[in-house]
Amino acid sequence: MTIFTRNVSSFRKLVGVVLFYTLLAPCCAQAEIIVIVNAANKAEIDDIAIARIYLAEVKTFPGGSEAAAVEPEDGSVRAEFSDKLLKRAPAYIKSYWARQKFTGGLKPLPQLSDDDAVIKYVMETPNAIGYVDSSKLRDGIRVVMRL
Amino acid sequence: MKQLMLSPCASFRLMRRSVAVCSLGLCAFLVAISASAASFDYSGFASIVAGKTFGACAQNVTVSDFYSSPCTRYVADWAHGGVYTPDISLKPDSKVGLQGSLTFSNHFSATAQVVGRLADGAAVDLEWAYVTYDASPAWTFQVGRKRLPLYYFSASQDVGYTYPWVRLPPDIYGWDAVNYNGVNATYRKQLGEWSLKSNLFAGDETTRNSSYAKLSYNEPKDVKWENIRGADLELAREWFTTRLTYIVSDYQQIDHTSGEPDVLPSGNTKGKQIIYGIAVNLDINAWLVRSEYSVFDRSNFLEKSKAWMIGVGRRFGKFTPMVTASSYAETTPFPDNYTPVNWTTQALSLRYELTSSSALKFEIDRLRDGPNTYAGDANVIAMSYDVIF
Repeated sequence: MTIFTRNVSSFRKLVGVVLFYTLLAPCCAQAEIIVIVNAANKAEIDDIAIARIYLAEVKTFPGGSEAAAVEPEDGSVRAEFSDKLLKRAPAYIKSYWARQKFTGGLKPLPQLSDDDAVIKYVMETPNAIGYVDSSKLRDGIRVVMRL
Repeated sequence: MKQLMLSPCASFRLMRRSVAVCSLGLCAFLVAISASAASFDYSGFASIVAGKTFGACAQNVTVSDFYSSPCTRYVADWAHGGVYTPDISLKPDSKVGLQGSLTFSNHFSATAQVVGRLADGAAVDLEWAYVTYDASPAWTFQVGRKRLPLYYFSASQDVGYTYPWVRLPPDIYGWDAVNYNGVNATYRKQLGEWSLKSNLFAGDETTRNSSYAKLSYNEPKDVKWENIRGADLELAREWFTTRLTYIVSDYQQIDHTSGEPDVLPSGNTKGKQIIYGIAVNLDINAWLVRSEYSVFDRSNFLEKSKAWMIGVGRRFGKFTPMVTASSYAETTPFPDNYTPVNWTTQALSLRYELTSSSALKFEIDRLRDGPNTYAGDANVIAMSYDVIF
């Protein structure tokens, strides 16, 4: 009987561990993301405007000027941006873009290799918008939202 | 996405390497792009799907002789003749697609997509080949070969990665025309919290030796959809998306061997069809609902069918289990010349996000055929690996 009970509890523990790592663990590697524009860009930009730009539904800032949006390649920063700002699982966003690309729909936004490349682009491009890990913050860019 | 800036000398190297394999047309194409230094992107997708039917043998089926001999059968892909039988097979649903896109400027691009499949005698088809002109942020014009946008997922039906099931519910998806040659105009607009997208299109399509017709006829048939004219309207707001469609076209079925038009149940050799429907999709936190209702009105010459599906799923981390029900039912004004059929299907599916660009899926379907048996009752089990690259 004792052996049976122990087996049940270790089985439960195993199930618990497996569930934790498959369902919960991916969500908890949190870092702060900042949405950034060029320091010269004074446009007021809210989360809905940012989401529309990043789903390519609009190509302009709320004031009407053209937005040159870039994003980092697939990775944790992009996954957190999906979760926190677009409010969609990264797989949903990936699927959204696959659907656009293979069906003559919207063109994907340019992807830069990493956070540093995004920061460099935003610093050098007056109408740029991007997002990076907040630890990369530096002069010459303006933070429009913290996630 | 892989981007390749083709400077004249880079493309010259590419030409030298591929000159032995590429056709004259493709070489001319490469010369043309090297001259304009356009940027070239390529990408692709693949689905490897294995499945089989199981359960009691179906009696009195009315499918063609090609499909009548196995104990059970399940039509997974009507348009391309993908049919599961009790023998496990990769053929009905597996496919691979490659897309190349040339961007000439911010406003002009050209795209081609080929898809290879194993269903009904394996073939590689040019599915899409169109030129896009982005006239303004609101208006886009395209000319060439495109997917016929009958349903919500029609445009991405070959890209298994883009939907939660192993395959799109065949009770709605899959007719005797898949693509069309013609023109279309897309209009996009933000209306407050709503985003609106509308598409107007016109064109023609002829399907020679139709795989769809082969399911029902022993003789090869060509199917012609001429004067296709249609419009769709998609409205989305946060967790809600809806799409309305309306399409009309002329219809003709032609005996492939003799070239003579078949006499349809109406007594005519030509008919008119009207296709309309609505899709409603919800994404509320982790819950997803996918639903669609469609009417294919061929009562002018054959039958009128109503089809619907509704699926409810929930994301648990990387897993998305889903329950889906669907139905297809015909009526006919020509009961002496045509036997209407109907059936219902229930499906249980599970999607697992393997990586950020690939998924594994598992699905069980249970189809129950109506009193005028077509393919018969069937249970199907299938597993898929879907990837985009």
